[in-house]
Amino acid sequence: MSKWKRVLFGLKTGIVLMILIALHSIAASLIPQSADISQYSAVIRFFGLHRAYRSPLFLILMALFFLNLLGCTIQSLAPRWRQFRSPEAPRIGRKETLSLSLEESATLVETLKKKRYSVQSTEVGVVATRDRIGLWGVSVTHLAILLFLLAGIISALTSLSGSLALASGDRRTLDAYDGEFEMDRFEVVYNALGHVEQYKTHLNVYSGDKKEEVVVAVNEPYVSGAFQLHAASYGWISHLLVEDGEGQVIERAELLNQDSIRLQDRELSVFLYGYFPDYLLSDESEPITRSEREVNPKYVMALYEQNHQIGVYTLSPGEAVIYDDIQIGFTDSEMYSILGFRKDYSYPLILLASGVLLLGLAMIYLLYPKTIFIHERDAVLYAGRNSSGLSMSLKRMLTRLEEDVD
Amino acid sequence: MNLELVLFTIALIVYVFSAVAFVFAVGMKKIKWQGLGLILAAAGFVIHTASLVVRAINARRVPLSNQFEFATSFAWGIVFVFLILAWRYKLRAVGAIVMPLSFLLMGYASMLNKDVRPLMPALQSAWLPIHVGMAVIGYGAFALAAALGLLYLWRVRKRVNEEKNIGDTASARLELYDFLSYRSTAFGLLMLTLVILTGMIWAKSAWGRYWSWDPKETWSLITWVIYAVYLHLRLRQGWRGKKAAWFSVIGFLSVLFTFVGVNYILPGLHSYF
Repeated sequence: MSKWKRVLFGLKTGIVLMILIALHSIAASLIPQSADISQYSAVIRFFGLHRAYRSPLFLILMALFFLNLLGCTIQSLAPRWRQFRSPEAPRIGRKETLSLSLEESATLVETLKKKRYSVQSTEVGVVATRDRIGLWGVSVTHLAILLFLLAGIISALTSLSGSLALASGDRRTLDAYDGEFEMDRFEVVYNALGHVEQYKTHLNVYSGDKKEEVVVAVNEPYVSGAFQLHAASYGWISHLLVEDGEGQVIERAELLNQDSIRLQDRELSVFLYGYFPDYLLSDESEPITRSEREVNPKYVMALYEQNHQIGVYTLSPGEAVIYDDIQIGFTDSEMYSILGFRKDYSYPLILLASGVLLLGLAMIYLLYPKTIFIHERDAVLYAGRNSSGLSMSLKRMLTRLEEDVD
Repeated sequence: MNLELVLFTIALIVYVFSAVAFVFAVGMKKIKWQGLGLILAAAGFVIHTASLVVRAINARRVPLSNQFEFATSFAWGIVFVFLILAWRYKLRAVGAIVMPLSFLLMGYASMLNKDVRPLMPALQSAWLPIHVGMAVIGYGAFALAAALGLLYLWRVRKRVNEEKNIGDTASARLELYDFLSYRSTAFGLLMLTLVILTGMIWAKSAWGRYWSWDPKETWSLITWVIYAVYLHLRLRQGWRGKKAAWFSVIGFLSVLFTFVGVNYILPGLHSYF
């Protein structure tokens, strides 16, 4: 094997790459991501740590790690196959020797038979073997990691995501989905004690000629193939009504909390600080809401004229402030839902990788190959990475471990 | 004071006495005190379990949904794993590190808000007890591995300072600490892997994506990488003894940061913990 292959596919390179990936992730977790680029120092910008997981440095590290793991796994397949097919019992890992009496030797053989070892008598003694399939454990685990990395690549290259704000009656289309979503209603479900149990968005999904009624709730997404719609957030839309002294409507508008609007043909602006459905003043005299139930609804609103604050008002629905011969108030509010969407083709691969990883770990942890050569006065054992553990288990089979005398 | 808090407080006090007994036993070479320490640890564990059961009944859910509940469960996990080790391998000296760590965690938990609050919709999932429960056991295993590593380092340092030759028995004991630290780490890594996998599946249904590079996710991955490097170095490069012991301690520092540090310093999607 050429030198560069040895280096690229070697364990030491793999370990160095893992350490570098960990260090990069530590730095990335401590640096706020994707803020205004002028806020970052030159060093952070140079290494791309302000968008760490899409930076060239990170992508190079991951690509090298992928190659390292792939090369290392492929290289190990042939020798592992030879070991697997060899008629000789595998001698893998550290050799451990256990002194035995004649009686213990016989007991051990019988015990191993009961524990489903394949026991064969040879000229030099008894050979007991088990779990040769475990030879593949490391390869299977590495394969799973490769599948995870592959899924990450597919996700980064093909996924689409975003969010969708809907109020009752709103109908929207999305590039990521071949169909339309219409919101029927948003519902907050309370339990018997009055605590919020669930946030439900009732939707009509139109796809071709078909109409499907679906409910999207927290932890209960709408899934269609690679597309998923999940509950992300919610809020209130408040209906502003501005009338002149004779009751003629000057302005109607929908405002979210913290929204403002400038009235037509006037220097007057309305700022909605917030809608508080279950209004209460905190100890610090800040308006808060105890719940999303409309028990004591209030609007906290400020008026501005040429950027100069005229006043702050707390109003009930239907109540109005009269300023300069016009009436300004809110009629009512309704809830809207924010749904997150994502189209990602990599998820089935993630599930496959998870299954393969569990299989690999089970092979490493439980089904590692065990070989025991039992002679009259000793037993020589090999158990891959767990020779010491198997030695202790055998000791425990024969006698108890001595009490610790620290 | 309600029953749960009474039991929690008693468990904390019993853990303190257990820790004192273990430290005294190891420091002053009073072997019999180890037995007392173990009895107290087991008694404290039973009372601690009762406090968690009472909380679960009061809250009508598994108590794993906020920082207090995770901290007390983390301490429970450490004592649980320690008692298994003490029972299976008759290894008690490690209690001198594990029990102080447990009562410190309980002390930390005692300073947090203990109100039983309703479970927010985001946490109302069958994945919660599986995902967080495995984290409790895994973190407990990592704590034990670090404790065994520290015990190993302390024993070696003591021998060097006393300029004693390590006899066969002492050498075998050091080897046992080293081996059990490795086993505990390997088990912890298995648990952490399952924590990450279940977290990915849960995240997919809750947030739409299985991996968001959220600080908790990132630090779980960093911890996983540290322990994966440790296992590769140990199994392929023969890192044992002092090097392995230091690695298990560093790994546990990462576990602690993932558990405590991330919550306070790096807010993210897991901020409700």
